[in-house]
Amino acid sequence: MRDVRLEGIVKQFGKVRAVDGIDLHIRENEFLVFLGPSGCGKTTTLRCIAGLETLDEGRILIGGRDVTHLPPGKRGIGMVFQSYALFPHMTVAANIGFGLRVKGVDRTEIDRRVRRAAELLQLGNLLDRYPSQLSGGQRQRVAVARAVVVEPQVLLMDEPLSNLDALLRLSMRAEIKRLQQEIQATTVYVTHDQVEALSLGDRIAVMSEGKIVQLDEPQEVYDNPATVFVGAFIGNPPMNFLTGRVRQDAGRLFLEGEGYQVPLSPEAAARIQAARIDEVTIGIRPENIAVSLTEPEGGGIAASVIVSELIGAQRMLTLALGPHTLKVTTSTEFLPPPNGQVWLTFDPAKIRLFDAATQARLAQLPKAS
Amino acid sequence: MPLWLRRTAHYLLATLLALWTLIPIVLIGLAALTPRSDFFTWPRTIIPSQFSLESLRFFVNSFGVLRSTGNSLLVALATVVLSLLLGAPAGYALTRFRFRGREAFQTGILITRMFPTSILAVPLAVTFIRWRLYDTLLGVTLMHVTLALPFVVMITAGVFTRVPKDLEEAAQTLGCSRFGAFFRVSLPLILPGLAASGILTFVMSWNEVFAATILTVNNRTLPAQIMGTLGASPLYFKFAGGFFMILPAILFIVAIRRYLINLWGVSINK
Ligand SMILES: Nc1ncnc2c1ncn2[C@@H]1O[C@H](COP(=O)(O)OP(=O)(O)O)[C@@H](O)[C@H]1O
Ligand SMILES: [Mg+2]
Repeated sequence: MRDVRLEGIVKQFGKVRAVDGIDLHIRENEFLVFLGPSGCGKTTTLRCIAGLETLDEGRILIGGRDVTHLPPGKRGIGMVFQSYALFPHMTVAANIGFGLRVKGVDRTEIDRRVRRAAELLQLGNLLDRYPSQLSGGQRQRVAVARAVVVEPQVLLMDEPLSNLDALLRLSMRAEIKRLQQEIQATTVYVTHDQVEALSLGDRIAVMSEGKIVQLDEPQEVYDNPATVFVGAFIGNPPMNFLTGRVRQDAGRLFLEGEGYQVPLSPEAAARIQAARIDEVTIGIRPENIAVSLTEPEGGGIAASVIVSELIGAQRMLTLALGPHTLKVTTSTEFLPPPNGQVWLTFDPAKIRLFDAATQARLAQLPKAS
Repeated sequence: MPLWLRRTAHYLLATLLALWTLIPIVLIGLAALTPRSDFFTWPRTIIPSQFSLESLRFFVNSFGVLRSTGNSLLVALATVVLSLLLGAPAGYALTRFRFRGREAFQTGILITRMFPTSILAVPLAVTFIRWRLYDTLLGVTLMHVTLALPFVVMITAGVFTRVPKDLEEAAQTLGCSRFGAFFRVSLPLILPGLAASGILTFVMSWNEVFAATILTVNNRTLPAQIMGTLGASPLYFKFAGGFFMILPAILFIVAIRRYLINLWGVSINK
């Protein structure tokens, strides 16, 4: 087994609780991504797993073995640093072979494995170069090769793509995914880039202020954010939020806020009632709002276009709804009218409900069967 | 200013500076290699009629010179070892750890250099007599270590800042212990810097005359020995002594000049 178990881990720096009680089971061969804004404790969590930080509380198990008090070299991990941390006085070959040399593997075996790792990462013709003679992308690949050549049980990566330009990042992302499938290592990957997280992760652990706020598969994190924070952090443009009160009108339920009324499904109404709250925040993704130039049958929500931008395959509208601002994506053919007046329809199935006070998602009702 | 003018001024200044240091050294060197008889001819020539090792030989064989040269070597080497042993870990700590009083420590190190040795001379001599360190090589060594430490700490701290912490951490994740990581990764990277500060210390101790003169009577280092006999010596003896003193320093500096230049942030090779 090559799984990783974090049990109530806490790491404090003075008064800052960088890691504030994390419980997590990372499955064998899983690609787990820690995602969160800068300073939320991702790197510190990763360094705790690596053994570069000593825990203040909790324990860590790798492959069922308690490694809490073991030094990094004895944990069966490989790590790729954000800065790559290549040894400047060693050639690429010596860098890649470093871990094997430390472990006392014999020379012909080192040579063989370095060559194989170099091939895997397309570094074959660079083995005699020094790190200073490599491009950013090549350095990044050397750092990965150096970490995987020791065949770690767990591969740790701290924002490995953040120092690359956009185009290179895209190709390296695919490369890393392919590599992970090839070497079958349990992988823990840290990033603040939600696109990276969505595309790479088997599961994503979204972090905020030292805690995991949601642990789910990418699609679920995107579709059903656990909190307002997660919805606002993931997606580009992010989820729209409106806060208001529930009101009944002619047998139909509405969320009413300043300058708008959003119709709610009976199911949504039931959930709000079950939660016994007054104020509700609804969240809806930009692509789940339909925009039309004329008022649709059954009523729409009037809004006015502030900005219309072409963003490649789509058009992004920034709309004013009373005092609120919404982002909506439409097809590129949609052209806002001169007076900016449009009507919105929220897809009722895609409206997400949050408690306005706690910012947490409202509980799903048990299905009546 | 046009480029050619700037460049000319630049080279002119460099040449002046170089001449400023070189001329005395060359003159001393020439005088030291002048046969003794030339000193008594008139008019005196700058370039000797023939080169001769006569004066140097006389100097080296005169009373106390060989012994004090040995003393100087011993003191200088001991100073290098001790000040590196004490100073390098201090420099390492200054760059790697954030501890209470770090800034104060850093300033304190520099402040020790603000007291002229001459002010400290009498109390120092008294203390050394009390501690039975007076007129011992150990006493002189301790004094030289004290003088050298600020430089060693500052230079090694500067060298360590250029070895990022995550290099050692990367080595640790690859199976090294803390010490192993230091020896395999950091040490090779800082070795040139350590060598440079070691040699700087050597030259400093080799040339240091004031403290050595005050703290010793019989067990003198070379500069103190020469100082002691200088007043009563003939001219050719002085030149030979001067040249003998300068030579090792120059050889060392030439040997390490690449590292010194690296240390000061300029490089001739790249
Ligand atoms: N060595 C350290 N000393 C003091 N505070 C630290 C240290 N490392 C991290 N922190 C603090 O811990 C918090 C989490 O940092 P980090 O794990 O680096 O965040 P992230 O990688 O998510 O950007 C931050 O507030 C940061 O300032
Ligand atoms: Mg980080």
